[in-house]
Amino acid sequence: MHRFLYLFVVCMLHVSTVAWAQKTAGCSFEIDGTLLDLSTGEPLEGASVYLQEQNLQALCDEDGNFIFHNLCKGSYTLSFFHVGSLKKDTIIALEQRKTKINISVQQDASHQEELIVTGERHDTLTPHASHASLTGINLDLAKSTSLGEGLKSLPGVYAQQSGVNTYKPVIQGLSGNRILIFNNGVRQEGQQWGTDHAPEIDPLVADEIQVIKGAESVRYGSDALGGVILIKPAPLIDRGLKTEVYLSGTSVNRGGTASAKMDWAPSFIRNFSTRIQGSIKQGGNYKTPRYYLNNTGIREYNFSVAARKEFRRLSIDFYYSQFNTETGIFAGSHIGNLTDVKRALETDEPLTPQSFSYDIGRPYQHIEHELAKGELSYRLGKGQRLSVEVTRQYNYRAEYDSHRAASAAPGLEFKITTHTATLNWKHRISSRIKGDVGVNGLYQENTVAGRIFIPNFINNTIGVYWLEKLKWNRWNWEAGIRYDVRNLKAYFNKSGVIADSSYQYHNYSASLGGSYAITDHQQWNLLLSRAFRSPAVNELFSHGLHHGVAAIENGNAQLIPEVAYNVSTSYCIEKPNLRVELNLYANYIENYIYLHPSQELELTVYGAFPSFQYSQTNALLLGGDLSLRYDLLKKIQLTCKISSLSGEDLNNGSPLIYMPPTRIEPSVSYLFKNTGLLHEPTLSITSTLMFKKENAPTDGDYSPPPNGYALLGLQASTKVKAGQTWITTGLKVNNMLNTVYRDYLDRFRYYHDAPGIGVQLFVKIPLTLID
Amino acid sequence: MKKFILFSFISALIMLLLSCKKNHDNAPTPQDQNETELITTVSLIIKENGTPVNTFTFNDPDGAGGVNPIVDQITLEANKTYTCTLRLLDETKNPTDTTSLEIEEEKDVHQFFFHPSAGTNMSFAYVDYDDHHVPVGLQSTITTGAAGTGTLRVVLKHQPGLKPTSGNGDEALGETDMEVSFDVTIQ
Repeated sequence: MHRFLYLFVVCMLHVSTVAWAQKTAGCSFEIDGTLLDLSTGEPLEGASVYLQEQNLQALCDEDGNFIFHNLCKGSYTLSFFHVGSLKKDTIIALEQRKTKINISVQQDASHQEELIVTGERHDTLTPHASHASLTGINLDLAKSTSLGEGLKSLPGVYAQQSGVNTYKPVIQGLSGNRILIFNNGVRQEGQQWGTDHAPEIDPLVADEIQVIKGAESVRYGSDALGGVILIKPAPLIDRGLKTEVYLSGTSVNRGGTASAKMDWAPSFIRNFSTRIQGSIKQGGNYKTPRYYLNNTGIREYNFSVAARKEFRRLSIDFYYSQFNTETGIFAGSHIGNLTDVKRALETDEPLTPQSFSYDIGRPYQHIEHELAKGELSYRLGKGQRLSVEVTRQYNYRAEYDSHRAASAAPGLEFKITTHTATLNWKHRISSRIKGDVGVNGLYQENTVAGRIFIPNFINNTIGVYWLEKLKWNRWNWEAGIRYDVRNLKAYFNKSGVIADSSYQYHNYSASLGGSYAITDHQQWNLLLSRAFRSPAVNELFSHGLHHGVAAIENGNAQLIPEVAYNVSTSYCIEKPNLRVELNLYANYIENYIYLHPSQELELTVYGAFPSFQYSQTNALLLGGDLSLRYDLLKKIQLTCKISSLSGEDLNNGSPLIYMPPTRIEPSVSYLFKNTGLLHEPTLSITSTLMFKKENAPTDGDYSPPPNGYALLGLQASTKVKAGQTWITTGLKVNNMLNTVYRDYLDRFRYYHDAPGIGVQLFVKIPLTLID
Repeated sequence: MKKFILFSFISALIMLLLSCKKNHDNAPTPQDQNETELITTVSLIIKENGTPVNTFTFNDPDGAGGVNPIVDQITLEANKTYTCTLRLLDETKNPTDTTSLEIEEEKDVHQFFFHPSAGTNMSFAYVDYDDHHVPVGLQSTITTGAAGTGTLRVVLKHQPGLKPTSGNGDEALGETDMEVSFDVTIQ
């Protein structure tokens, strides 16, 4: 090709109108730029940008855009790297949040550089209804807990809990089978139907966790009626050898986490990058304000490896990760029958003596999750890229209970293997229109042993999708359509006689989104979508006694798919000292699948139990999330997040059960001056006001919703200079007043209080061994 | 050096993929649903010296859900003393599994509790004890008073690590492995 490579680098600094990402307390300057190839005018997708002073790295997206958040005023050195060994350094003075600068760099083979700085504005808007991210200090703090617990801090996101160790994310009132989690681009497949089955993902692999709220089925696949969670690891580095060590401790369960990561791009292999990462975690019994919680310890070890090799047009990616945990379940919660639940409800404190220990006894869960992914991506030409992704996941779940028959073997054992393949063609029709067309397939085999609650099954799905984006003046549009077919075959064995039943579901999903930049600081988004979800195996076939919740659940083989119609709109203001995002949504779900309580108790040898049957109704979820930030005198930052929603069963004219109550989270931060030793020292006082859930249905819940509560917290963070590197450290005090409370969405609120005061502390030490 | 690194990397990759965890079970050949332990039958074998044995049974052969259990009515004579033996069976197994024998073996972590309602005019006294001299309840004595009707609730608690090592036991601890109710007539 060209002997001389001419490049045109445009780097624009302006306040982001794109990433309505939630920010950590700290400075709020941002660098948002675009990198273009001068000779072709093409965006340099996949080029990496390195911010030297902060040791931060960003990857240019398909439009050549990159972004750095939460920077302070100052001077920064940016380095650009790309296949074809472009390397450029440029120094940028970030003095105003609103500074708009273009930087064009011309480079020839002799590496002579020319830097042109001009002022221009560039818009990159994605018409998502609403999304929020966990990054920076907040993510670092969340890494010492679990994925679901960390995400609770985002507006519109809650967690459905089964005690202190099991958090399932709830997005705008929906959870479990109705939300999708993507771990490094791979749809997480385990036993996600269970209310006490937390996502099998180590948050330590993430550099950013993004929550996309609303029905986003076209891009991410059917079932995503509530939203999507994306676990995004940091991009691999292009040169050098870098390590990062993360250590944290939590006082509430005397827990500790240690993680290490090594990134290496050996100089003697061209365009080859690799990473190895691992973590271990251990915690003991949690302490509530009044007592310990017996058998709530946790042990976890996880690791991952990633590698990437780039050729001129082809890139090959490989990723492997393993998640292993042993999670204790509060012993007083594994009840035998309704009498036991009533006894637990009548007593204020657990009946058995409670003390601290790291031991994990029965009941406990042992879970392993393994993920392998390979991806080939080939650049066809201008904005055109063909990629093939193949993945395999294996999920093993063993539940050890303390029933009489408890032998060495688990009482219940699930093994599920999932293979997926995706073919995607990214194309560009013009500079204004571009999109994706693709097909993805999934093959899944599940086996069950022990107390059979769901049957063995083979599930396969195939989906085709087509998405186009249009940029036009201040408008950005995105339209997409998708069609999915699912085949499900379940196998039963009754006294040696094997039977099976087969089901097929097919339906389409569609979405239309638009965003309009009202001014440079204001944006309005609208998303209309239709999505569907076919009934999950537990909804069709579950049969029998669910000891954890003391209820008999009966599946319903007659269920038909749920169809959601979602309207979501958001309005955002982004000014130097003010950020507002208001998101309102309505989600109408036809044939909403839920557990319908039957009026009569069912008699068993364990006593009488309430019984539930999976049924369908039409449901309407209406809600809003508001996020505000106001900077006072450049030193004090006031923030407030409000989330509220209501869920209605339209056919029966009654409210839906387990809808999150209204939550308000005001906080105030003080930003200290940077010194030679400290960078961005910040101190915040945070609070959570959770209202009592009003009008909650009483059928199917053994106790009325608990009272609302108010929690006070403290957070401090800074970067400390140590030699050549900056160590990040943060401290958080949860439930500072040691308030006794129980949360409506916690199934274990029947049995015990929520954890009391606890201090979290972490340090993150990056070390560049070879630059 | 370069080739060596690349070679070791690729071999490590292949080894990693080969070591992937596998499911050796096969979905189309599921495990028999009846393989797990279940209590299907609870019998109270009640007798008075010199009279025929009376057996009253709670029977739920298909376990929780499905067909409702069949429960016998207990009829006893007034002002008598009976001996009562509990027999628990799992009739889904072939041959039938006698769960009460296993409870006898694990008596240090099990205890039965008897709750006659007020109108029945009957009382229970434990006969058998575990190694710490705490009652078990597989054997007991029933003393009936005046004629009356009511219910009898029998509870089996599983109390691993929790069963008291002195006194008469504590029903509040552990989890319920069995709880059945009978209608009772004392005549």
